Amino acid sequence: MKMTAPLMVTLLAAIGLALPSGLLAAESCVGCHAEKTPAAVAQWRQSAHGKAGIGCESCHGSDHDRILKGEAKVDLTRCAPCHPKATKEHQASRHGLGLHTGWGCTRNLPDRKKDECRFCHRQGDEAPSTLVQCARFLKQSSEMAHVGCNSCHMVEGSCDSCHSKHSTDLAIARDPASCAKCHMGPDHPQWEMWQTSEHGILNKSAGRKLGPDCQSCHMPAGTHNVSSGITMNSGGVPYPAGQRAKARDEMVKICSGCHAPSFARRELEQGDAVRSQSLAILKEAEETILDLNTLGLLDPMPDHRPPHPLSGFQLVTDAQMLYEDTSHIERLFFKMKKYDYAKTVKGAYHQNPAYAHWYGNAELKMDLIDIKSEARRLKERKKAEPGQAGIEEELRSLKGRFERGALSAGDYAKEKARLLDRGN
Amino acid sequence: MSSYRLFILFLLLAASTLTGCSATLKELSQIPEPYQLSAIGKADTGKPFAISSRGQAAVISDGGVKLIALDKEQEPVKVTPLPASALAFSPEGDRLAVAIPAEGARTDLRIFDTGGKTVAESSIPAQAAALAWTGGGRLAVLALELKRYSFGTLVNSVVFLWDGKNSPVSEMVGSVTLRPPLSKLPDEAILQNRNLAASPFGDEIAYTVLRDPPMFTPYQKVITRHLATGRTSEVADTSVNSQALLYFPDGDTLLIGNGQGMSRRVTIPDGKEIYAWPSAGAFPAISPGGSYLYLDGRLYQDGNRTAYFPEKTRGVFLPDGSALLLSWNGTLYRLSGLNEMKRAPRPTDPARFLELRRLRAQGLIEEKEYRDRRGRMLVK
Repeated sequence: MKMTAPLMVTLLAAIGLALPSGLLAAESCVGCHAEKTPAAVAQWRQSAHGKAGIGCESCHGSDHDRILKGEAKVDLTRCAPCHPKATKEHQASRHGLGLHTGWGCTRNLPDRKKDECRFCHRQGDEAPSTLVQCARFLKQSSEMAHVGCNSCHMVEGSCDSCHSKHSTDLAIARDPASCAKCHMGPDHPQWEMWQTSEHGILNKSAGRKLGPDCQSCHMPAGTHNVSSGITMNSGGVPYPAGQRAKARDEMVKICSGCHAPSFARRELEQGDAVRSQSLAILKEAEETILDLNTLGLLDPMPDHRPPHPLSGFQLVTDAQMLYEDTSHIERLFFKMKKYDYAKTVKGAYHQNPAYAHWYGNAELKMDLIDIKSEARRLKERKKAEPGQAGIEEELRSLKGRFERGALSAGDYAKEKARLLDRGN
Repeated sequence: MSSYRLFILFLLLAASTLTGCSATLKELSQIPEPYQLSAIGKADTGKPFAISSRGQAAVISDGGVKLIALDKEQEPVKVTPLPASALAFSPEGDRLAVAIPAEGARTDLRIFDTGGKTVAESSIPAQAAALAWTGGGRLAVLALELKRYSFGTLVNSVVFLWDGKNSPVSEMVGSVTLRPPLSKLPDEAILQNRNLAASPFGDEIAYTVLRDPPMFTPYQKVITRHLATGRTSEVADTSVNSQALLYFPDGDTLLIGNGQGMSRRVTIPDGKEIYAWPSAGAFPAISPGGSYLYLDGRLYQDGNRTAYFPEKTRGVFLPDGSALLLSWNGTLYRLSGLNEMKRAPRPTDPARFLELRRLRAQGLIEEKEYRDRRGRMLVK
């Protein structure tokens, strides 16, 4: 049967009226994309979006030229209008706290690419969308910044960091492997330590009901606030007491789904104790390095190496410390702080004995030996130079400690008097 | 005959004009007992001279530098016929440093031994050098570089440290672009704005640098510099044209003349005034123990004026404090009869004392901690 043109138009109009408008629009894309991006189309067809008739243009828009130019990427702002609760929770969590890397514009750095702007700026916005500063990001090549940093650190505005792009299957987002993409490796191996903890082993052998996974404890009842119950910042520094107590109550409540609250609280308090002890070890190492800096003994000193991207020719031992263009002893401290301290503390809170002890605590203590040994070597090397009086070093060290608040005014004066009157 | 008498009268008039006032220094001065004044040699008027701890005076006479033995009857030793702008004996008295202006806005530096033999020489690219010997036998030199521009005059103050073996090591310690009206002054007037003194302990120098800030009166900043550490302290301000900067024997106070009728004794490093004299301080000298002070023709003993000389008489004390040498109107005089009751403080353990001063210079100890221990480490 041969269809006439008017009949064809009428039939299409009827179909159009019968279908949701999105689906109609989607079908205009699908015709081509079933061939060009078949996986995306297949995933979308199976997704909640596809089934609810939410078509391509709902997220991607209808300006094909912009899509082709890569200017219509789907971010949180697209998802938020339809998912306000999840957005609100996400934004209240550490995932939503401006984890974009790179405040401190890269445009003046050599060999940077224009598409980096989107790391910090939305299309057409001069103001950066994030206030997060990251010295390590600013030291990266453009490619490494993209692959190594932003694959994880764009989670603030990218729902597809955890959810897949076209599939809405919650099984994907609920799989601990989704978290592992970022929460693994030397700086914070939560995935590894969970897997080999009691919780992880039970999860593998007996399933999710008996062995909780990441989402069980960190996204209870499906919340997108992954930070509830956490009592320290991302650098491992405890929150102020009030904030800490509130977070602790939240975590005890989560644990109480399976454990007696008193047991949960006691276990977490042991983690707190490990954290305090580890911080003391870390502080001792940091003091050693600050002291060397005061004495001018770091090799090289900060003013003799490329400037720190955020602090210039200053020693940096805080969250912005670098693992490149630094001295050997600072590199040791970087490992100690970013890797071994994190493993110890997170290992303790994730109930993983091997991470808390061998990968964490033992390494932390051995790091301190290495750092002190290196400090001694640097001091001895300086002493070997002619004209270097020991008392000057000791006084400079005392002064540095006093100025950093590590020594009270009274103790400072007393220690100085002891040095000055030595031998009288 | 009348023309002959006129000729004689003209000759007399001419002679009196050439010799100036025929009055002697003694007649123009107030020199009470027990002081005694005696002429000991020739020294060009208005030129610097120096005295060594070995009993020699270095003077500029007939345009050249000569060495005079103060306690022996012998002919002066000719050191160099060249005109020197500054002279300084080493603390041990075995070396005489001389600055000689050279062509091309340079200064030649020469070091002579006690026999007038050259033992070292060098040249620096700056002029108007002031000299001071520091510890370790190093000569400190403060000199200025001038560059004239249409909008002003750039003046760089440069300190050179010279060990007499290697080339002098320089460091620019001040740089200022003088604005009119200061920049319109002739070179000589600008170049006199340099003062340099060495601490009696040899570890520190004090010097002045010119400042000419917008909306303010130009001035000189008095700065001390600890030589081993390079640490500096801005001690005080003084006026342009000030030519008086001396350490008192305690090493912790400075005499600063403002060139305008006031000289002050101030503490290092805070510049606190502890005494003032109504004198510009153009030609200051302090006796080795600090009992006597000579300022612009006035001799003070423990703060009291005890003798008076013509204002432009230059004076330098003998290193043992027994006499004051005075240069006036082409003659070098010795004023004896001084009674130096005090002795310059000496550290019981010099190395430890210098260490204490080094710690203070670096701000590693407070002023009170320094002074408490200083008092215990010095004998007078």
